[in-house]
Amino acid sequence: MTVELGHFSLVLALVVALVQGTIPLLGAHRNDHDLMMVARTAAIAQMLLVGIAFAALVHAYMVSDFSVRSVVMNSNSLKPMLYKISGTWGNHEGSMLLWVLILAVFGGVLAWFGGSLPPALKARALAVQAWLAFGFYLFILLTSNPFERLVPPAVDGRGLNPLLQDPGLAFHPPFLYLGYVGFSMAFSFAIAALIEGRVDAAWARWVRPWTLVAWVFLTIGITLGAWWAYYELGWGGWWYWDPVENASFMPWLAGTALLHSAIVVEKRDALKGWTVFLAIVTFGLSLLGTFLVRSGVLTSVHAFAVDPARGVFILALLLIIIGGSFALFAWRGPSLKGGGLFQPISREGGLLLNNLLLSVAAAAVLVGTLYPLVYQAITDGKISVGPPFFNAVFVPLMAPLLVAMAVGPLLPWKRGDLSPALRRLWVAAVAVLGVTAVVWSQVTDMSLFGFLGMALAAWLLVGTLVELAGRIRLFRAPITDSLRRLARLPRSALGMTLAHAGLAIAIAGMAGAGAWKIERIQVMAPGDTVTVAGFTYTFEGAQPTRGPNYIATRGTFTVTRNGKPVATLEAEKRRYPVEKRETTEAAIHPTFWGDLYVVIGDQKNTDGAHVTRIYFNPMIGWLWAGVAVMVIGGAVSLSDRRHRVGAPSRRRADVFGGATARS
Amino acid sequence: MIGLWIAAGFLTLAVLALLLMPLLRKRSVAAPERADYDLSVYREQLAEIDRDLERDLMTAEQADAARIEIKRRMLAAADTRDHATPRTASPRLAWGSAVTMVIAVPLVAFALYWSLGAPQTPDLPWASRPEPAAHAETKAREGARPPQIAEAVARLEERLSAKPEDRDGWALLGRSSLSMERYDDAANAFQKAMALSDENDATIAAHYGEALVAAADGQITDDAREAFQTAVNRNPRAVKARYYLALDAAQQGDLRTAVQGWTDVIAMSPSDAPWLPVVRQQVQRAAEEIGVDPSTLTPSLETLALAKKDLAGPAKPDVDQAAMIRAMVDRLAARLKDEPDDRDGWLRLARAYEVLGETEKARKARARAEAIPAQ
Repeated sequence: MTVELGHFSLVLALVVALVQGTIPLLGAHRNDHDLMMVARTAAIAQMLLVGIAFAALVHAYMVSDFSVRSVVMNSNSLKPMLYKISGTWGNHEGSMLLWVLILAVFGGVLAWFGGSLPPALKARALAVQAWLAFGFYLFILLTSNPFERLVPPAVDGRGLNPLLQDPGLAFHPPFLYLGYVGFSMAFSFAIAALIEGRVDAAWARWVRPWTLVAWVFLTIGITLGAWWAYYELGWGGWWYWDPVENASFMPWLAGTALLHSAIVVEKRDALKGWTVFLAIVTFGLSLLGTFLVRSGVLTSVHAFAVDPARGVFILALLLIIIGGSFALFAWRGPSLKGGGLFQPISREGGLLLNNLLLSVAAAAVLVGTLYPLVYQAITDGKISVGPPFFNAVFVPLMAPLLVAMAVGPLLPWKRGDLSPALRRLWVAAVAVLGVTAVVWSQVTDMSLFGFLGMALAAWLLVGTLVELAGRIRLFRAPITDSLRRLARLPRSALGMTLAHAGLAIAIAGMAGAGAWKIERIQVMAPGDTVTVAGFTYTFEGAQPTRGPNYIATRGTFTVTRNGKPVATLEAEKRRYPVEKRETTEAAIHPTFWGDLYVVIGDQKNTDGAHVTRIYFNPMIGWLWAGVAVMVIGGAVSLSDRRHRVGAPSRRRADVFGGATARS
Repeated sequence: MIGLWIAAGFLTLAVLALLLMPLLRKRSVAAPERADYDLSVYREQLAEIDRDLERDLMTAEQADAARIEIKRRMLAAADTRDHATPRTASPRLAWGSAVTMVIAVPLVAFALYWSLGAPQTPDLPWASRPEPAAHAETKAREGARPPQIAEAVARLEERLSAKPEDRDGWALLGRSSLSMERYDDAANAFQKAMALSDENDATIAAHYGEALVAAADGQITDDAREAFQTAVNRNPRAVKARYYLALDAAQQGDLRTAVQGWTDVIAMSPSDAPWLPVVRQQVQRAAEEIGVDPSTLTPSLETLALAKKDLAGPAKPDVDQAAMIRAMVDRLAARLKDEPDDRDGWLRLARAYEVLGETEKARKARARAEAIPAQ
């Protein structure tokens, strides 16, 4: 019964979405408060209903109910419980249900906590959310129904790709979806603003935290994916400009731009139309990301035709949502008049430059990702657009962005002067020279990319700290005074500092690991030694071993440096007989300056010699640490008291302060 | 199922209650105007400037400039309040919406669920599966419970990777994979087994072909056809291979060959073979398609010769012997016309017809025999 109740619940959610998409719109149009309030309860009802549906599906996976087709296809009675649960969203049908669950939860949160929003704006935003949800419910129920039953039931399930049986990947999709769907809030607000033809002051105050939430989750999601690729694929790389990765990176770039332009709307009442446009683009790219990954179109344009109902449906949905909102923007966008004016050299100007560069970068990734698809559709030939293209486009775009990033926060609003800001950055310039010199003395191969990255990272990190030092008057006031100032800094300012500093640290990691990675591939017999980056690896031999559902070869290595022991590493090559898949479990020993990374390959001959790959990935840990700092920065910024504007009481405002009179 | 409807009903009622709540409760009298929301944001921004000023994050001139800008916006916002759209609250519209929802929400939800759902299908958690049923089900699939199969397969694979020349091991792996519906794996295993098998082993060739067919979703691929042909060459009595070759002919549209092939399969199979009903059905359908009376179908001479060999020991198949068998059968049939009470005679005739693949006649003969009480 639980399965069918979950199914019914999802159907009911679709009907509630219809209600939420119509009656509140009518109410907002007629300024009828009661009708508008239906949006609130409907959104909460939707959250409960989709919650029930999702819980029912998770339950079916947990108890291995093989009368449910989706469970049969993606689970197995022998799987560990964690992966039974994560198997719920590890497949198309379940992941789409997770998608609408997150959408419904965000809608419910907006309904519950949106008291400070004008009711008409809230009603319209919730109605837009409901139409999005309606489209996806319909897609799920008609083409990808996770509650489809199998009569007679299967004897056992078909398992799950062992590559996916990994904690990193079990939680990668939910975070990505939290990010993607989070941008739907900004989108719904943007469409509501277009319907109303105005952008309220409250609008930016609401759009920004939601975008920030989405951004934080998407950052975590993308990094989990990169981290998984790093330790599971066994090639020591973490980013491959793979279309699936790009699909999540595009909304991140656009979302980062949105995050910054929303500041201008809030502070200066300017860039309204552009911000609304960015909100649409960001969510459009999120949808495109979902679509690209889910439709199978990436493996081949022809995979699309294998299940035309699904592919055409989602393509139509995409066209309606994106095309419709751009049409609406073209029609209503001009009515969004901006208020504040500003000079090119100003805080606003800096943020605009950031927007420009990030948008172009997102467009470049979009072209690089879609070009092979278009090419295949037209000529039936296959080409791939790989790292050379992306690096050639990306580095020239990111370098000026990072240079400007240190300067922008030092500029005042409205109109500024470049020279005082640049004068304050002399420390950063010194740091750039220092870092370049140190790197020069340390590395043997001269990589322009590496030097550029390290120099930019130093510039940004020190520049960001200079800005912070200025705010808290470090060295110009007693240290206790500075600390007091630091503690009382607005959280959003602190969040900015953390996020920018985190990016600087991450850039250093990317540059180091990208430019000076060392790779040695060799056949090693037990007792052989290899020296990589000053570390001496001794192969102690390999033994067969068994896991719960795999058999493995485990190779043991002892690592010494200058005769002193550093670590014992155990790398595994696992074989999952039921799924017929092999995975590599790299052994990683992180150190401050880089990771020692060992992979064991096939046995070469009978005396126990194996192919081994040994890497030294310099500074890769900085990448993860930097992203963590960025995420913390986002969270700190979210806690700013600005985002806790209360609902207005009904009173005649006295514009210039002073006494208030009740009406 | 009743439980499901009750739960679904309660869920629908709860949702309706939520949806109707804003419409049916007392009208809210005083709600803030739209501009009030803007003003409260601006007031908050003014307070923020005060805070920043107090913490020395801004100079006094900067704060003044910012304040003036915000106050200008406040004025504009206060201005819009004076020509805001008047608030309406139409009880008729509220009631209309409420009634529409009460009727439409359950109706649409239940109708949609009725067409999509499977209300009569119960849950089937792994733990609650009745042991005997699971057992019966798995017995047909190699007699072990599936987790054990999976484990056994894993062990078998491990063993085979160490000792790849074990033909029976590969054959077992193939059969297990087949029962676990992992057809590609099954085909691989059988292919290995076939490479190791001797020239006379038809069974493995037939299995290999069957796995290929299953892997190709029931299509008989060139490789599969070749495998079946090999099986029949190795052992002409390989009925499974013959069945598939006939199916291949049917898939190619050559129903006449197909019907002949299946008739031969029937003739070669033991009379209690479990596949006979299926094959007979196939023959019936294909015969109807090409307009042939199924009772007139006879096995091919080759089959008759094989049958003869079974009856009379090794001998070279030739046309005369086939004719001899037919003559014998005809004589028996003629005799029974005169002595219709000979139960054993009818049974013998039925068996003979079965051997010859003349199923319809066999059925009639058996019916006659069963009509006579045994002594």
